[in-house]
Amino acid sequence: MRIEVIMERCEGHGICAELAPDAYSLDDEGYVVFAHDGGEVPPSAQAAAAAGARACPVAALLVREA
Amino acid sequence: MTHTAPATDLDLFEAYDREYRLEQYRELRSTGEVHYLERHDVYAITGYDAVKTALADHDTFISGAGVAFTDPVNQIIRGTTLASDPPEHDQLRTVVATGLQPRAVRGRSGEIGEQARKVVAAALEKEDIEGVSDLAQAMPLSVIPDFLGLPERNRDRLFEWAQGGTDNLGPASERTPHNNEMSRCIAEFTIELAERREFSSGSLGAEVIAAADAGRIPQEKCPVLLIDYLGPSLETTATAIGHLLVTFAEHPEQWQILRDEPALVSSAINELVRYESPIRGFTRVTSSETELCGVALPAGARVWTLLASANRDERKWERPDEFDVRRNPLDHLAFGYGTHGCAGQGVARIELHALFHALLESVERIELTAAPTIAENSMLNTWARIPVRLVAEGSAR
Repeated sequence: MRIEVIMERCEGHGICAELAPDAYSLDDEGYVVFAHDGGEVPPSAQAAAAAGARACPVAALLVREA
Repeated sequence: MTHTAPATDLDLFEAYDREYRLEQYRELRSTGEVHYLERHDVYAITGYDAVKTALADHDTFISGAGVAFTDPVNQIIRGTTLASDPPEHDQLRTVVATGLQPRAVRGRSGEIGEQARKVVAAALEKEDIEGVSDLAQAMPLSVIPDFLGLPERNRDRLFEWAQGGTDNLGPASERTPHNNEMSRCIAEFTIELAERREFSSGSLGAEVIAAADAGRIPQEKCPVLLIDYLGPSLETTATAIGHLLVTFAEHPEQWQILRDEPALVSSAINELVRYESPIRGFTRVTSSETELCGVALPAGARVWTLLASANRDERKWERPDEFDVRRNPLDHLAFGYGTHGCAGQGVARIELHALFHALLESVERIELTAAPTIAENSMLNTWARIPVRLVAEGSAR
């Protein structure tokens, strides 16, 4: 599983980081930083990463099943 | 397997009562997520998954043909961010949303907290208050007009205009002539503001004018973008605060939980707007023949994405009709979802946060002194009058 991060859509609401702090954080400017960006999400982190992505209010994070 | 949407002659606009509307949603959800409303020639989307899927797929479920029920109103809102599609939408949204984003407004939270304490202190000075004007509207009114850089005139009319404009997004009703008048007032005001460039410096309104001067948006777009600000920025937050008063008056044990554990405020905000979604939902039009959660939809169909029903969907939520401040339903749909998700939710959260904390600091109980009156509005779920008493901490009463 991968998470597609659409940076142009991120508005910094921070819901992902609140829900799944191990997978998502916000940088100094308040934009999302995904811990497994560009790569396969390890199985142990998949549930949290997917939950954080689904809660993004502006659909900036999309779950891509391999 | 794909099937056609069951047709129903249910009239989702025949009543304003919250419970009645929730019962209608429940009835629809019991036989599927998508129904054809014969009376309005519109498909009602009531399931959480279906609403979220439709809102995420903005290429198939477009906003450019308007998000209202009727053609005349879709003409009025043409060109707003709300009623446009990418790529034009994204360009407009950048101008409107940038100044509203959490990172842009975080610096104002101290100031907003100060306003919240003043609003609560003024309400506590009176024995009984009318919750809508004295608290629900007073809070955003103390923050948003200055933030937008509006002149003093017409500030007191912004709620009435927004209520009429939002009601107008529903089917034609006996209120339509009045609502058209409200829409005309707000349109004329924004044209006047853009022409006279009446915004205080550093405000969001001034930034819209600056974006046009810099050629990032056409000059003639300024008034409609200002409607994007003026329309939803005050009334929706006031609506949520009205629900805060009534819901916690009806669930005093939940207020006590929050008083004991103020860290739950963020969770309580999400639960409040899930439980009492301020906006019932807007419409979209299908750009091609499609399928939504197993239901076939023709091209050019108008669909109504019912956020208020999705937020009570028993397939998504455990105990959906229970108000529980510990729930923290982060993926509720009260602010919509996807590319048209509420651009002002960051500011709204800060305002609600500030008000919750100001109330928790000094108010032991919220008590209704008479039954509140629901507003007659097709698209908003909002209270018109809330006779209420804030019982101060340590009060003898």
